[in-house]
Amino acid sequence: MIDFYNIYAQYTTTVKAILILVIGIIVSKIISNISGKLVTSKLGSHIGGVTKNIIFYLLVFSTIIAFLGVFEIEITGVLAAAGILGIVIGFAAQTSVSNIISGFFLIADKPFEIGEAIEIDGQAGVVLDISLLSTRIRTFDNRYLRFPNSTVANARIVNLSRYEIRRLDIPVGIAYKENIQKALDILDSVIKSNENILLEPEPQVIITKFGESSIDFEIRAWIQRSALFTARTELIKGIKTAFDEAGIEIPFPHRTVYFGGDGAVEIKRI
Amino acid sequence: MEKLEKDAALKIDFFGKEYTFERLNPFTVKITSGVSQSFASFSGDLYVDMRKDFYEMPYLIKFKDALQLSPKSQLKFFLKLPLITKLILKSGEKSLEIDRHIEYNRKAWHGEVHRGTLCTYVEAEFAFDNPFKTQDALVPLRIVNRSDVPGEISKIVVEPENLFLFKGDNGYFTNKVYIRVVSSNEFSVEYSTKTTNKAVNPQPIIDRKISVARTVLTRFDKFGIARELGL
Repeated sequence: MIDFYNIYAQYTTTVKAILILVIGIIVSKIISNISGKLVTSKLGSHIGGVTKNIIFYLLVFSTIIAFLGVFEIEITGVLAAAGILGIVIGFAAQTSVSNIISGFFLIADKPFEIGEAIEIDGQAGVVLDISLLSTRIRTFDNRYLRFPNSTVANARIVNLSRYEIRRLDIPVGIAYKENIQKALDILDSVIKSNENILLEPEPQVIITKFGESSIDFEIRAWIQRSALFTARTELIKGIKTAFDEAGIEIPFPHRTVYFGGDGAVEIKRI
Repeated sequence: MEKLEKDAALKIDFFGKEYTFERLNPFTVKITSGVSQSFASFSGDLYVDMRKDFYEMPYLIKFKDALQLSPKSQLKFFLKLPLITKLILKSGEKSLEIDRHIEYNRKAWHGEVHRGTLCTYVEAEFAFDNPFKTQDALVPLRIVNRSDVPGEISKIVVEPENLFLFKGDNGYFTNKVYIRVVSSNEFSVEYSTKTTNKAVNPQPIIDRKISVARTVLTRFDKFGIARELGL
């Protein structure tokens, strides 16, 4: 018969250490999982995942300290060595650390989420992943871009899909000789007949300025985000057709060149 | 509702679009419309039917002329509510949608531009005493102004998920809807489970299986939106 008490007495330190290690890791896993789920339900899966990992590694670190304590290993020395090692690693991995810290800021600030369409420094695409080191996007022309988080954190970010509706602004000009009211009526009917344009908020046509060669208008119409390109194409096509039918000229910039003097200049073929 | 017989083609005119249904064998139906054709797997006694349904998004019903509510008063009227018509193939409880006719394609946004809801845009048609004839449904609506200030209503947003649909001998009707104006920026909405007594012999077509009337309190504040009936 196995004498468990004898074995325990003989290997008490080792058994205690192994128990601390095993129980510690199991408890760390359970606590980190629970806290991860709690944070996920409140703040989303990305922050939940990061929180879970942080809590897990902190608890595992505490378990290791307790494990070493059983063997009466001087923890102060280990910690001092870890501190020095930390400084060395910190210097060596400055960029990575900066990216990680920026990653935390991005996760907390949430300027965009996975699946959203964004524009970073003029590059537009759909967010594929936000990790601690980098943000990856797939551009609309199907290129894969990886931005270090430190770059993203300092860049100008435009979130293209945060809101469901967008305002479509289309500038248009008519020649000075044309009747403004007639042009306004035509624009109004073109806008209102376009099914992609929302009837509330009401679309507007405003006269913006006396342009170089035209009276300038701006159409401001609200559309569903997904209909942006279709609506723009249809509207421009509709305006051009309607103006052509009504005989309204859309001018292009004119330039009159004076050669000086009163008389005409004779142009000779050389 | 027309039965699809074996070895016989059934022609249906669906809003100017002709559909031909042919039963190729006990399990397959060939559906032809113009140059396109498709095959549906279906068995049992088959029928081709047209079914009315609510639009999938809320209705923003805009009044051409605003309704004025004096303090402590009420308005009672029928409001036209457009319906989708679906062409379906059915056998017993099973059904398969073949096509749908949507009359109102225009959309509008209700709420602030950064948070609100996309709606089907409809210009209001209403009757005050007797229901008018329409292929669409009528909402028996009562608006009670309990406040001491006059109110003006220029649009109403109706959430179809709280509506029942009844087919009467004199048209389609929804359940009764009551709006209570509490103050200038606050009101409550109650959905009854019954329809008006002006509906002749009403039979439920869309039944929400709710046994009690629902009351929704909506408050308009600086950052809020009206998901229910918006004034």
